[in-house]
Amino acid sequence: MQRYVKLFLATLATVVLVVLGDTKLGEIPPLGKFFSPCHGFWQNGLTDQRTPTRFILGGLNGKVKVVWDERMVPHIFAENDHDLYFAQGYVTAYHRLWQMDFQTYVAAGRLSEIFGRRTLDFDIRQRRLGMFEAAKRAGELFLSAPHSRKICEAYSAGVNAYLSTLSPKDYPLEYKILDYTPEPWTTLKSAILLKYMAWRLSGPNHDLQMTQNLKKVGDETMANLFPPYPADIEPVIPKNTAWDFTPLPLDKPDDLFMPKRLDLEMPVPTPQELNYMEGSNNWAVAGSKTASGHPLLSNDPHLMLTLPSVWYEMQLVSPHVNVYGVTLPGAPCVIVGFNGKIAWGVTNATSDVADWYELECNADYSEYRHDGQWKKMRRVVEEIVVRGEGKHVETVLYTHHGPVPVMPEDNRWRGRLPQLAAFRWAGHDAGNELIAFCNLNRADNYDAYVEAISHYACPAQNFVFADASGDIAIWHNGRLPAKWYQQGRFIADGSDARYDWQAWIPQAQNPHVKNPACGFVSSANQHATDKSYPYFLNAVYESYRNVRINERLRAMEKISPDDFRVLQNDSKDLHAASLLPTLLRLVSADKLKHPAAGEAVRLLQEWDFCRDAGKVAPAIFSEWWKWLYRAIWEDDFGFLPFTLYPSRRRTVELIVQEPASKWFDDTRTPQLETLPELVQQSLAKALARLDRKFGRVTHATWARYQGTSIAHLARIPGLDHKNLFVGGGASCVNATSDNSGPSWRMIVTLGPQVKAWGIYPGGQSGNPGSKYYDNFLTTWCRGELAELLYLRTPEEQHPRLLTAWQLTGEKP
Amino acid sequence: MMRWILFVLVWLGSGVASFYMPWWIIAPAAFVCGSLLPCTPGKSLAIGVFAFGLLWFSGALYYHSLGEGIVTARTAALFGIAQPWLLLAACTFIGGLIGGLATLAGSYLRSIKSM
Repeated sequence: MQRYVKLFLATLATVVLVVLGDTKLGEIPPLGKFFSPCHGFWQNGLTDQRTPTRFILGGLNGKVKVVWDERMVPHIFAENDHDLYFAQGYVTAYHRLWQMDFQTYVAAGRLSEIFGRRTLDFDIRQRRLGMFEAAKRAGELFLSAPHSRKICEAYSAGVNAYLSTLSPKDYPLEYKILDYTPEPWTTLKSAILLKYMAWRLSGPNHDLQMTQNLKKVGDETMANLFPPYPADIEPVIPKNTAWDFTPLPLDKPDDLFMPKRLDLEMPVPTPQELNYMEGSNNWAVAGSKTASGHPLLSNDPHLMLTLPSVWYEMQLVSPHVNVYGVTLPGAPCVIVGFNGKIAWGVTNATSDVADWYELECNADYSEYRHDGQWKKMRRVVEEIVVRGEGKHVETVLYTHHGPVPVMPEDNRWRGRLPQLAAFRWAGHDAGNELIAFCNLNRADNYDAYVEAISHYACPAQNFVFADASGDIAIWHNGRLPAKWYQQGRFIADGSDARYDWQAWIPQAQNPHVKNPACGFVSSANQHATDKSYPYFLNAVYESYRNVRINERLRAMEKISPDDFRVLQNDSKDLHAASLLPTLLRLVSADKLKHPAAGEAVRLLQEWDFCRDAGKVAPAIFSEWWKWLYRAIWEDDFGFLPFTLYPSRRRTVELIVQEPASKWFDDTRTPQLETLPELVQQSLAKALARLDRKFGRVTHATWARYQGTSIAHLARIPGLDHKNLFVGGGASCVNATSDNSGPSWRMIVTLGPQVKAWGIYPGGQSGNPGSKYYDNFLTTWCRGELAELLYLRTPEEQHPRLLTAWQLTGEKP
Repeated sequence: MMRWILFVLVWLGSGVASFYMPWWIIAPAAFVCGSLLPCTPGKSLAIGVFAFGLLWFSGALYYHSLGEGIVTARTAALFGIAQPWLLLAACTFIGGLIGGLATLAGSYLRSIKSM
């Protein structure tokens, strides 16, 4: 009997261990499966060793050759366009399957399927903002146009052809860590992916914060502290450009609406509040300013940096196209790049394409008032699958403006999103961006480029352009709502039809300039136009990088590609340059009573305003500015990041030109504070903080202070890179921050032989077990570029080519 | 002697089967191994721990070196471990623990049959 008990107990123990080893416990992967040599993470070290070079894939019509260069960039040569996009899907999935799949979970609000309850609020927010609905509409549009349907279906078939070759042991590492499985690719997933990018580039939306400020200080002060068109801006489209069109008439209300329900209380910020800046630079110069006599083009989109990288580099060749550049894993075509004839790049237009409307509803929220009538709310039921729990059902109300993301008494997004307000986003309207990129990839001159980008909808981008025949141009382009002056700056009246988006700006009226007299075009997220443009575009604009870029481009002559590389890496900070001399005049080191005060002030006095990685002065300045900025505005506007302060530029203006301004007084104290006091106190505070954090002020080098890091896309520890040794900063052309930076640097010289250079902070493989996961990083940190191999034929020989794959359809 | 030869065959067979079957295939295999061994339960347990620990250790070491240790280092960082070789130890431990317990269970079955 005892033996039976022992047998039973030993067997039971084994079974329990097997079941435990097969189960994810909290955030710990299923240990048995995960550590098994033949199934677990060990298998993910093998992708670099993959040897077969011939693949038979059902779904191909002809033969495809994929040539790999030493940077692991695929150059795809196909006999027809179907096979081209099929191969693009196949190759992208080969390197980035987990990433492309995961990003669609983020955008569609499906993360709880992977992570369970802890991401449920995030998913609910995505659904309530109408992301999934918008993606479904875009997916339907892609499928309704025969051209984009063919591309999407070929791409999906390619992804799925790769997926079908995998067994669980081959799944990318993240699937094993998070314990789930890949799902088949669809056109809807491509649409979701594009909405994900659109959403990232549409923010931040400040309507709530601006309205709170308006309520606090009134219309006149807002015009003074938050001027829509500051006097000395350098817009993308040069000042005094004549607008050769008759603007659409717009019905404008007599005075600005003030919301009735507005929460002026600020939540207390938590350290986890994520703030990132996503901007970009692009510029092109005409042949008259270059050494070669041919146009040169540069682009560096700044995005939140992640591993795997947001971009995947490739060359796509068929009888109809030969294009090279970066693609978004999950979407067909090249997004930023060049072909033999043209080159193009994008920066975020930042123009406001998202607005909020305060609603007046009946008691059960089934109707809302609009234009003198009561209109029915539409109800959309969203089902969110929560891992380990089943379904969560969320009913979202829709007005004709858009969804109502936050209901009254729902405080989950207090300070971030307004309650009982409808959300209108240009991304809710489907646009066929795929046609835009497909045509842009094939464009061979200015007219073809303009035709291509006319299909592009959301979010608006500054499309810079240069071609082999010598044209340069920039279009502030996208589907932009035609707004009256100040429309969309604040929360609008949802019942007044004059606040509706009455029309889209006709494509031909989008601001643009071709071959300007100065010989260059540029953009860096600054104002698109001056005040004379008849529509109100509205955004929080950058106002230092573009000034620096233009100052350099004006001065430069006989420009070489390497001069552009130097400019991309320029770390001169015009914000510091315009402010620091005044601050140093106001401060006295002796009164600071800090042992390093004298040295700190000396370092600042000697600083050339370049944010180089090894310098200490930029760290002192940044910490000083942080406390000064806060000290000036916290009493008037509340706590960051739930509020919006007057821009850095406006604040510098006040300090330099109006040192006696009333805004320097802290209204929370009975006595009167002055600017010199604030300057002195904030420097004292900064030095103390730097001491505490770095041991000594002089140890606070800029790279250590800023700590530029590249997180893993799903924030999995160990798969990231922390504290890179890089310079630059938010106001520099080299626009780095703690978590964002130039996500792709590209320089193209046009002419009879196109040549290009590029780099991104990551690597072609999305597999953390591959040496190609992060092998571009060192080059990127050093500010160097790699020469891009633009091949003409599949047979072309080059010492930097590694190997080639032959893909063929099923055997006859 | 025959039993030992069979033991080695099943043990090696479970290694091969691991390429095609779920990871826990070592558990039933070890159970069979335990029922073959002409040993006391204590000795069977020790042999099972050693045999299946060795099986997983050699598999992991092979893939670790083939992948130049990159994925091992990344995964170690994921768990907050500074020494990647500890993952090899953990792998050996898991394989040994499950293999050993299953071998023990198998040896109890044999002791019942041989009564």
